[in-house]
Amino acid sequence: MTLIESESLEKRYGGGTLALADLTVSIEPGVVGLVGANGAGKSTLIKLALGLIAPTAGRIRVLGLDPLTDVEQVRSQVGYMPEHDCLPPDMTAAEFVTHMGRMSGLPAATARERASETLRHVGLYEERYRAIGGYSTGMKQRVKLAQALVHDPELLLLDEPTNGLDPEGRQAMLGLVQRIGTEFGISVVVCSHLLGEIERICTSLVAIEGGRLLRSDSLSAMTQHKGVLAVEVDERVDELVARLAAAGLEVREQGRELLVRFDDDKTYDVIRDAVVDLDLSLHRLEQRRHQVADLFRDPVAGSEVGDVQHA
Amino acid sequence: MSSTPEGVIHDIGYQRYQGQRLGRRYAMWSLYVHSLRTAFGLGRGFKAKLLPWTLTAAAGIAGLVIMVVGTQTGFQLVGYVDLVANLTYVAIILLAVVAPELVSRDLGSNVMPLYLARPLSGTDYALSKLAALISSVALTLGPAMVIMFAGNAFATKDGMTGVLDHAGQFGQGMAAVVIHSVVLAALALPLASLSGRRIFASTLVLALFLVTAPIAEGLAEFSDNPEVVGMITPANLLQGVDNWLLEGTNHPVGVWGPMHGVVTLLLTCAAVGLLLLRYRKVSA
Repeated sequence: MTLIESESLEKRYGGGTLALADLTVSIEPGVVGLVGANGAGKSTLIKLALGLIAPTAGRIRVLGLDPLTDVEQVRSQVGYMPEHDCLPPDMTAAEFVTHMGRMSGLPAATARERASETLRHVGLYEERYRAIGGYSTGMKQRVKLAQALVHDPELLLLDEPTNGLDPEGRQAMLGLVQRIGTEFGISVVVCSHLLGEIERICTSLVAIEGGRLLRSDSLSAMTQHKGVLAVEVDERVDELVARLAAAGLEVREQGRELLVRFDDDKTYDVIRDAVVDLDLSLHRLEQRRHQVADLFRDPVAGSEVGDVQHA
Repeated sequence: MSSTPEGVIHDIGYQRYQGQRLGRRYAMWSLYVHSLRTAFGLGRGFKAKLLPWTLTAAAGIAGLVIMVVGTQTGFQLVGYVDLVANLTYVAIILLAVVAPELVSRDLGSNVMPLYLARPLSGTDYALSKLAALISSVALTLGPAMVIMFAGNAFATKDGMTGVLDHAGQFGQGMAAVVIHSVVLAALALPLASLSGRRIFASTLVLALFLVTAPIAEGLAEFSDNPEVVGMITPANLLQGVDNWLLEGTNHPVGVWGPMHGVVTLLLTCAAVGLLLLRYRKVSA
């Protein structure tokens, strides 16, 4: 069954802001990354899928149902984790997730049982009997995930689940999302503005920009390029460019930086050697976490991204 | 040579749920029970329990004192229905504490989207909260009635007739408890739902009840019909309704009784309407 299917979906807010325009997309089961910059329309799409807002034009179906008419059915099969803080500080996680389980229709005893199971699955053990107000951001994110998962939904909608987490926390959260998609067998739509971060765990990607679909495809069909290294030196940039190009690297200047296509670790060696040989002072050498924009407007004109269609 | 870390719980993996999923009605009932527990601080710390229980005890003690004086001296200070009216200030303090606890907390900590992403609608949410608030006021005022009735029924010297007489008065008192609870809660909840910060929500609730009282009193000085002017404060309005509908009250409003009834009904409906409107638009 298709998770989310939309046809010329449009959402215009009261003030005339066009959040989604003519979005036709079909999202298949799996772990789906919904990528786009802030304000691209990701959250609007999620709210439409939950039936929290009505589209101004077009239609949307979730798990084959209309979220506006089959409200109850859709919502009892969908779990939603919002982007922002949404937890009451003076309740314990166990109490809160149990309550939310009951709100989703789980009988009292089952709700309690599943709440502690779910909290354990997301990595909260004894802490669950402490008030949420005292939790770290990482723990709060886990509680938010647990409340979306407690009623065992068919589809999980996660809005920026790694928001506010440190790198380690991000990795843990992403690992968890991947486990939910694979081991738990629950389809996940995960929103993010960091493509590099979620591409690792997704089976397919949907990219939107300015409310329009940029591209929707399975990950294997998407570009496989690994990324870009940013190099910054303070002088004789031209010489370095020539040198790197001679070594077989794709290089482009952007502002004060050189963007070098990153193939494997040898690329580092080549750049290092070039800088040393030319006796330059190296200010910066870092791997760019490529964001959606990089994939669709790649600074290094790679062949892999040549087939991107701009909507 | 086992190298597994200590204390590992063997993960039996994620279990899919095949059991029944109860619908909206059940969710509303669960929210009602949860909110009622919250109102009395059950499952929370001592601080959350302090005020609601103190108020309930205060109301009960008032009933006890009146009952004891009545049975010992044969002189009943206040009747059942009038006691409910006299306890309005207890109800108001309770509302100023509990109404924000029930709705402002969810608004302030942004929990609403989590509710709204579930089968329950905004209207369902608001109605469950209103029912819980009404019940918590009734549970605070009700015990005083029960104490008065129980004491008087045991002490009566007129046998079964005495008991039945008190049972009748008790019934009137309980009717007053229901009316007061519904009206006061319906007025307080939409006000509390305007703010996500408890302190502001409490202030709004208190303002409605406490600011209107002196104004009504002041206006009554200059008016030919003090009963009519008195309607601008909920406490007086409810006394008027009691006088019109129930027996044994000491605050006659005479021919203005039906008007008190109509105003109360309209006010209550308007307040509930506003509450529902508020939750239809609540941001998701």
